Amino acid sequence: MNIKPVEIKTDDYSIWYEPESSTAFFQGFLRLDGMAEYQPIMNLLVSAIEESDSFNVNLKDLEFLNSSGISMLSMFVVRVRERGNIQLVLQGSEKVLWQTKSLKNLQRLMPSLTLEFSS
Amino acid sequence: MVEIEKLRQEISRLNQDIRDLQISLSTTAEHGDLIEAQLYETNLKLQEEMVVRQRAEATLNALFDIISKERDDLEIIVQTIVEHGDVVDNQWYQKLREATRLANFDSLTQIANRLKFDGHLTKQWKQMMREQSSLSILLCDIDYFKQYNDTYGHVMGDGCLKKVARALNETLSRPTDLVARYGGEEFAAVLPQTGEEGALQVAKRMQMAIARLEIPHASSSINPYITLSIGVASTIPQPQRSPNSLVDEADQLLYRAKQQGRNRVVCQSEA
Repeated sequence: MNIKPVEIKTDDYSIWYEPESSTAFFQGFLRLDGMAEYQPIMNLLVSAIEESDSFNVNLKDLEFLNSSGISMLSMFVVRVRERGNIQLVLQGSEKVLWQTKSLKNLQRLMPSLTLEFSS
Repeated sequence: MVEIEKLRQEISRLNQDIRDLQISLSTTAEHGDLIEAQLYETNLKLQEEMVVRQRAEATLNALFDIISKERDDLEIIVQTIVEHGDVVDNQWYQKLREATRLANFDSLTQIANRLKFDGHLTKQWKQMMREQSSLSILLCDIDYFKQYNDTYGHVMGDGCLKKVARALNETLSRPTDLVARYGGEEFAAVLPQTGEEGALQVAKRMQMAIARLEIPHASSSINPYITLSIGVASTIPQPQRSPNSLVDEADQLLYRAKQQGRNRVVCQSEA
């Protein structure tokens, strides 16, 4: 199958999808202005989950994510839950303060979601 | 005959009764059928209505479940966003503090850097101008530091700079005094509300503090240990003068201290 939007890259952040490992990678400082600006990223994630029964989001190198960003991620988790039958894994780092706090909250939205923290 | 006539009348009356009863019976039967049909229809309608209501109730329950679930989701999302905002705010604050520290402090010696020195000097210069109080600048240079590095290597050289920086920093106690790493082996101090005499005392204390460190310096031609040359410039700041001109003056005095044989303090009145 062919994945259309594979990469979104700017000076501050980059996001790309690796079909072989069914993993979306997030890096840098993601501080977009409002939900509308997050739509292309949401579209990338949504089209990626169409391709596989398991999906990983690697956030280890995402140092900052603003409130609209965590909101987008929350809605994505709800969307995955509603679709059912998708094993979602969020990969974070214990070194990044926001991840240690916010990712656990996302698990409350989808208890079957797996959190993997690396130190 | 009368009897027969009576009997006829009786028969006729009975026949009439029979007809009446037949009419009555058929009327009642028809009426019953009608009511039964109506009841049947009503019953059908009721059953249909029950099905519709049950469906509506099921739909409402499903809707209620969806709304409850969405409400729960929203509560979690709101809480996530709020907590996320706080934690990111905290993260930015730490980042800002770290950036401020990096911008103002020398990474090797952990004392103020030149940027911090310039800012502090400008601020104190203005303050002393308002107060018309003295302000002094000390420029200190480690004697024969190039030779020290050549003899002991850069790692030891860095260690020497750290020790000297710490010792100079500990010499100052007033919160408005500041010593900074000004260049390679050069340190500068700002002393507000301090005239030449006070500044000279501080310079002597600094020399003594360095002497107490007893850092061996085999390639120094003046002393077996590390020594300092210091230029001291003092003034009461005036609007037509810039703080940098006082730094230049201290630099010239430091140059004289070097020329006069190093390991000494030179101030304007002695120059």
